[in-house]
Amino acid sequence: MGYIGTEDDITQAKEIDRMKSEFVSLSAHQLRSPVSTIRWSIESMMKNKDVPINIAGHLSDVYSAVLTMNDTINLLLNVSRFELGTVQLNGSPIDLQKVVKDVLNWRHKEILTKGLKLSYSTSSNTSKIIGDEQLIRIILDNLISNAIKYTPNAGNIEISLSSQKENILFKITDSGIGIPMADQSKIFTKLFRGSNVKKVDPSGLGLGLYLVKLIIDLKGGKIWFDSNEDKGTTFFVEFPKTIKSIHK
Amino acid sequence: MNNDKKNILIVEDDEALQKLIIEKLAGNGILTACVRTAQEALTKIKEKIPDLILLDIMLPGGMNGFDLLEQIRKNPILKKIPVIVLTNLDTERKTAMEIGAVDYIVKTNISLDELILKIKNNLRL
Repeated sequence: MGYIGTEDDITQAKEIDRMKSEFVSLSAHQLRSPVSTIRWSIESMMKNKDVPINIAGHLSDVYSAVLTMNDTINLLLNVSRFELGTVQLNGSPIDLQKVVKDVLNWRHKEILTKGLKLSYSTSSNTSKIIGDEQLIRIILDNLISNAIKYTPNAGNIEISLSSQKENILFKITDSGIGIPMADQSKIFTKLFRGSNVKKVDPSGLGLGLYLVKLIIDLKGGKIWFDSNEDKGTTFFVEFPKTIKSIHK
Repeated sequence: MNNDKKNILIVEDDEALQKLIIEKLAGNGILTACVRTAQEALTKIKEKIPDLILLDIMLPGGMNGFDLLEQIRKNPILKKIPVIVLTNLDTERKTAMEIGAVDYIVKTNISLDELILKIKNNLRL
């Protein structure tokens, strides 16, 4: 009897988890339309030269908030997809160097605003790969946006792509706040936030690196880091140049 | 007078987004027609073949954006119209490109200026 009861409890708990993930996914998706409308409306208003300077300042703040909201929605959608088991791995020819440039363009304004010095280098054979562009974008965007967020103004970010036989190595080094030694074993854990990052970004969810690790595990890659508190962090991501599609 | 102006058909059921895109395209000298459903789009395309179609995937009515795109690509007269998919779904890029979209854009992940630039690039403006 005890055994049956335990199995029922687990089944019920799993079902509740699945329903929670579905709810998060649906809610996040429904938020996308209004967020697009708000984002594009503010962009239009910001272009209007007749807007008084004090209002322009508020618009700029609302715009930053909308972009943050958008990042959060994307993060929640992607995590819930993994938890619902609906993620597909679609291998197709992609230009990896272009994907990195696209993500950097996407984050260009934040890099400029903080006055960060960015360097990006690539070696040969890192352009054409068979990969899942959408998932690679998520990995790169999370690591790049973290580097931007946790590096003080006028700091440095170095990015490199190199080819290693069957694999690609993506490396990103920042001169940011670093990861305290006591937190280093937990940074890929769901909802974990480092003790020092809460001061820089109190509203973070602790889902970004968790999601990155889920994707890298799915792709058959590896992620590791080297970090010193108050000095900076280097993340290394290694993934195959050719992946096989997985459709669940 | 407007003979040399490009025409875009916007297939989008969100009226607020429609309005923003139309306003921005008008500012760039591009003419627009808007419909809310794939069926309305087919009628409109038959009246006047657009230079480009901006197409949402999730649409009211029986047909979605992919159904419309497939019909366009099967039609010898319409098959060369460039179609940019503009959607809230970020999981359908591969399908859209396989059916014949020239670009796939997730609405929240692009600024209005970037959208207009992509449209102009596809119109070779």
